[in-house]
Amino acid sequence: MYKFARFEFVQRLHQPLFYVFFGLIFMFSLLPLINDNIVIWQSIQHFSRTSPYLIVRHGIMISIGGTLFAGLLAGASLTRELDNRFANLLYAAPIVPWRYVLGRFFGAFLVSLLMLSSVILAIVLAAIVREGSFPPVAALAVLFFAYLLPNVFIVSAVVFSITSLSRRSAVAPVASIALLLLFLQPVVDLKWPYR
Amino acid sequence: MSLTITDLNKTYPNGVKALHGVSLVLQNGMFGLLGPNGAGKSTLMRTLATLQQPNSDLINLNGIDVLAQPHEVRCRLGYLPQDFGVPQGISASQLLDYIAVVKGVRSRLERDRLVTTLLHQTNLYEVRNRAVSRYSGGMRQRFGIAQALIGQPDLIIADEPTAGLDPEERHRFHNLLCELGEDRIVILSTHIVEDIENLCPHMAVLHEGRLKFTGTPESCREMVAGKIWKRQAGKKEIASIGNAHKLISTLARAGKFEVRVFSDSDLNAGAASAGSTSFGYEPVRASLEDAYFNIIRHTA
Repeated sequence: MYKFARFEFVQRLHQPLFYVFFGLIFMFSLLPLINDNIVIWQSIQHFSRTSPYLIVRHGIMISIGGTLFAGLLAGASLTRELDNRFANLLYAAPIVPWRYVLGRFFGAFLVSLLMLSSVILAIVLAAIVREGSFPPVAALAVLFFAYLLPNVFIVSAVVFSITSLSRRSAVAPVASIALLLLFLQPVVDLKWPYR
Repeated sequence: MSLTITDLNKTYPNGVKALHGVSLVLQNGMFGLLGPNGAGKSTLMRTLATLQQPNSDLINLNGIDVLAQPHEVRCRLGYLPQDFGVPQGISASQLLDYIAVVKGVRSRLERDRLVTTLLHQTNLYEVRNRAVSRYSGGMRQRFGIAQALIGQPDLIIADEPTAGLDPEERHRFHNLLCELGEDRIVILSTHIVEDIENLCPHMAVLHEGRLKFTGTPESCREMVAGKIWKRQAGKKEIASIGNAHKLISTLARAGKFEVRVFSDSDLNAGAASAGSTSFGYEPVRASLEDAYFNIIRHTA
């Protein structure tokens, strides 16, 4: 299983799309934190950039948008090989199907997680630039383990499963957008304490 | 090493019957499977490669039931499909290394040695760090053979491997295949008669899913030896020649057509009574291509 996960991981890192998504999420995370005139959803100008509340809240906000990218990146992992016809070579090799599928999924999931981790990089950079100090590690850990990791896992698993079962890569963006809308609904209803 | 296929049938869900009772026995060496497009060659190759299930049959590779034990067969199989792609941006050495891992070569040292050997063998060593997706058609086919050789397979299946290659690449590919056929079964599926003639001591002709001939290229040629006639003809004459005789092929040459026909009897007989020395037919040495066309056009 590890060999398939590793190959998927390396293969995704060779794709410009990963860097485009990484860069987009990084910029969307960083800009509102270092410039008060840039507002995504709601202003955060009154918050310290090392505030655990801000770190977690901002991370969640960005990661919700990032689910779209995570789904796009991980969803078509298996179907891509049907599209580019590499499957014609690979499926005649002595592979164990469940190891292959799980390996590809975990490789794609890790790449999506790495891409969305650019939020943390942006938060750290903004805290250093604005406050001159490193943000609290506990807040970053909560953001990563309690929100980013499960969110990316759920999105990757759902989009990967739907796309693989349909055997069509074009299903991945549709499923990702549907999930994004599902994720956005509770956020729209949220009442932040400072409103 | 032997491969036995008994009464292989395949009908696709849309009702197309791709294979009708195909039976073959193959031994070590190159075996050519010849047939026009749509004859069922790729269906047969994909079935042997365990990529699809037939409706009824028995396929046995040296005691292994191909249908019941696909994993065991895949461990002994090298498959070069007619149409394959590669992931973007991955170099030949990286991709071969990955396929070697997939085929169970665990040791990194062994894999490095294997990949280097294969790259040399297929003449790709100089371009080993270039992305395979940027290879030319010939280089890609040689990469296809390199990956098929991983794991020292007993059975190599090459499905239309020379389609689209330039003559130099084709020769290079022929030489490579010849070397491989010495100690294993190599099945070469193609619609190019010359490939079979140059490479294969044994061959079969598949047409409309049925096996029409099995034997050596010489015995195939013998079937029409002394029975092929040719003559020059205008475009309007071709239809009437086709109605009167078994038309084998028509080849345009300098504004005229060279027509080849199959006939057991002398086609110029009776010309004297018609006031001429001949009808313009002359006997020619039969080629494998003549025999092949005769099989697919005139054999029930």
